[in-house]
Amino acid sequence: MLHNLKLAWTGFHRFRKRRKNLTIILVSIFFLMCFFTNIFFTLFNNMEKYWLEKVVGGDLIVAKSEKRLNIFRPIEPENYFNYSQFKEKYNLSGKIHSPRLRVPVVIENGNYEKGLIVLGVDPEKELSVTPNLDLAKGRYIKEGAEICISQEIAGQLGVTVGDEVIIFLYTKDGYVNVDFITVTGIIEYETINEYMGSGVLGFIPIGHLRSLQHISTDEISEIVFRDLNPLQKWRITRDYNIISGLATIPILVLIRLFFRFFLLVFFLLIVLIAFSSSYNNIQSSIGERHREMGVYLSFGAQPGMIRRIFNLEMTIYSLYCCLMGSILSTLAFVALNRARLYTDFSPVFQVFLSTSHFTVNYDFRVYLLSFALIWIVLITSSSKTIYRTSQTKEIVNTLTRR
Amino acid sequence: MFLWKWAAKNLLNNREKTLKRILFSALMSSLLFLSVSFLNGTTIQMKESIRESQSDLFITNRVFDGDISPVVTFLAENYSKEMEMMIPRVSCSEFTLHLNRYYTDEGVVYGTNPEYIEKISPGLSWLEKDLPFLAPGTILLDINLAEQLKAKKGGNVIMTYKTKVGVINTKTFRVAGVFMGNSLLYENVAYVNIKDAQELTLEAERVNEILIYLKKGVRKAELLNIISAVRKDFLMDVIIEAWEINPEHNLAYYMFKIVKGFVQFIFYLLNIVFLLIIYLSIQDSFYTSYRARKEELSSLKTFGMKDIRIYFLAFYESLYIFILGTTLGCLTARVVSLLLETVKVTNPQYNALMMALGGANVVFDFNPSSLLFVGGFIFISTLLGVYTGIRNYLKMEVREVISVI
Repeated sequence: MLHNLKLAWTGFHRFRKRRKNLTIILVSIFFLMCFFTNIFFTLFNNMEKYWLEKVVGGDLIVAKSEKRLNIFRPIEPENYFNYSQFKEKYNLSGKIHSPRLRVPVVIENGNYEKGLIVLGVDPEKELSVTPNLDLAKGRYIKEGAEICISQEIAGQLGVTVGDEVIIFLYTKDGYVNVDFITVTGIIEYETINEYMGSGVLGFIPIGHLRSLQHISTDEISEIVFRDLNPLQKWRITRDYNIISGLATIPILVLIRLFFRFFLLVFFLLIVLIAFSSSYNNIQSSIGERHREMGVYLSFGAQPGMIRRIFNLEMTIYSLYCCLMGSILSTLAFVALNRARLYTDFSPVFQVFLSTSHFTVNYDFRVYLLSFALIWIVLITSSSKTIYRTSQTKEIVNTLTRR
Repeated sequence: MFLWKWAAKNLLNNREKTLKRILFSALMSSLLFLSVSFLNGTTIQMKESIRESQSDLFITNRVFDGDISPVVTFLAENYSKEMEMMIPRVSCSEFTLHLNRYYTDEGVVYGTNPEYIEKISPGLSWLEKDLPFLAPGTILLDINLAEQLKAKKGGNVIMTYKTKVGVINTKTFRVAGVFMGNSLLYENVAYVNIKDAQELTLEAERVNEILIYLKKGVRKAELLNIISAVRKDFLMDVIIEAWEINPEHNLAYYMFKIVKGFVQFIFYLLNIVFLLIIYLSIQDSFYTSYRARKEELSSLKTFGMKDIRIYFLAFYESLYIFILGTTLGCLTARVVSLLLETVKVTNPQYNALMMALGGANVVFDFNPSSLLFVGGFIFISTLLGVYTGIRNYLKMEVREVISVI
């Protein structure tokens, strides 16, 4: 093995300069792959931090009949399900999750009224899935007749922390129920307000909302979770629907669609070009090495050994290209992060980039993934040429041809 | 001329390789043409959607209880030749809509006539097959309102309206249709028959908005004439908006440009990658093909052929490939665009896509100037690719000769 490695290294060293053209192409491809994948992974990561940890919470488990969900739309009471039974059946203990009861209500303060969706939540569990929720004033709900509303709704109703408002809602059986409720906190959604249905969300302790809806059991409309394993998800999807948290916000559906489209087209093209370039180059460079193969054969080497040597050489060569590419891409990221891209000048940019200060997180896994892709492309594109040229008959024919 | 012929002969001798190069060039250029024409198409569709929704000339009352009818009479008497149609509209924002336990007070309800619905329909996507008719007693809901109310076609929605004198008026409507539209123009919008809206506002015959669609071919100067004539006589009574005169001042168009800017950014990144790929592949392809012709070229060089002639030879070869490839690419892009133009956004999950598309359809615009622009970039990439490919080959050749010596 060490002997083969030595031969492969010599081959790589000898032909490194002659493959300059292919080296430039592979280094560029590695750089592009690393650069764009890291940028888009950062964007996806930012989205999760910005939108999920602030508002949505995570992926949502809903009844099977709810095919899709918008964070600002109600869920029909027929689609409520029992939390205790669910928790017991799917063993959610120890998992970060939050049960919610989604109810459309009308809040009235004097002459002003406003329709909104309130989420009945367990405050402790809810804050574990939305740790970045900002309160502009007051405190988060605890228990009893308390409500947290967004800044915009508070402005429209003319209420502030400590005010008592009237809440109108339908009970589960369809009767109208009215009660007083105290505003304990006002939520700051910043730019989200402008792009997410005016922030028509409110939060009430789930126990109190159940009593207002005249629900005696622990029924819920959805469960938000963060860390379920694939097996648990698979089990749950047999009876319930799991909706991606980011798919509940229409603008994010659009952004993610374009990001994914870009990545898909980009990767398809990049693999295509890498394959065709390396195929052409390797075909011509290995085709010239019949004499070398003849020497190996005369010393008793089998075609299998020659193939192994060339595959090893390709591996060393891909490592070399990836090393150069990774240095280039890391330098590009460092430069990009030093440029300090602030998006404060436009809320729209904040929404699209999901951050107010864009910095690229360069993930080591992306480098590994790009290397793996380059290696696979190089090995597959060279395999046919290597196999053909390593046949004893082929070598003898070429060397004895006049 | 000799080099042209020689280049053509070389390409013909390597038919298989030439065909591959042309096909590759066609693929890349078609992708570039498609992406640029798609971006152009979205702007065209957005402009058309704004025109459908807001007309060429939009006139509304300056004061809440003003009367717009004298303006209507004035325009009908003086500018009927320029006008295609005039649509009256009543807008109600102080409303609530109820359906069973669901409630909403978001957005605007417009009272208008069925002609307006026909006019805006091309830019909308209806959840039902047939275009619904806006008969009295019916309501057409935007998907957002329909989802908030959990409303479906045939359901009964109760609308409550608080008139300006404080009377709360209520009317029941049957949902005649649910539509999806560009959120920048149709978010939380509902349409009822104008008579119903007038009944609800307790103001029969009153109209507070007029939408004027001008005939095709009416120039901007004539539009400005109409505006100045209306302003001259009714400056204190009405507000006039002609979005086309200054599109940047139109909120929907402004927002669209921001969304488009983002889409453009993604597509331009992609286009840069395409150009880079063209450059790298041309460079590689010429390098390997000239390397394969080493013996032929070495002999010619021995007889005194200069490097510049080799560069020119490669340049002519690449020009043939470029012309054939981009022509084929342009044709392919056109065919693909015709296929894609049949696609319409009908899935409510992708409603937000309309913000980027400008409307419900996928529209491509093969504008000659942008095609030339893209073609120019492809040409530059090809030239650069050929230059570096041949330069690398010549460098390598010199190195090989030196190593032999």
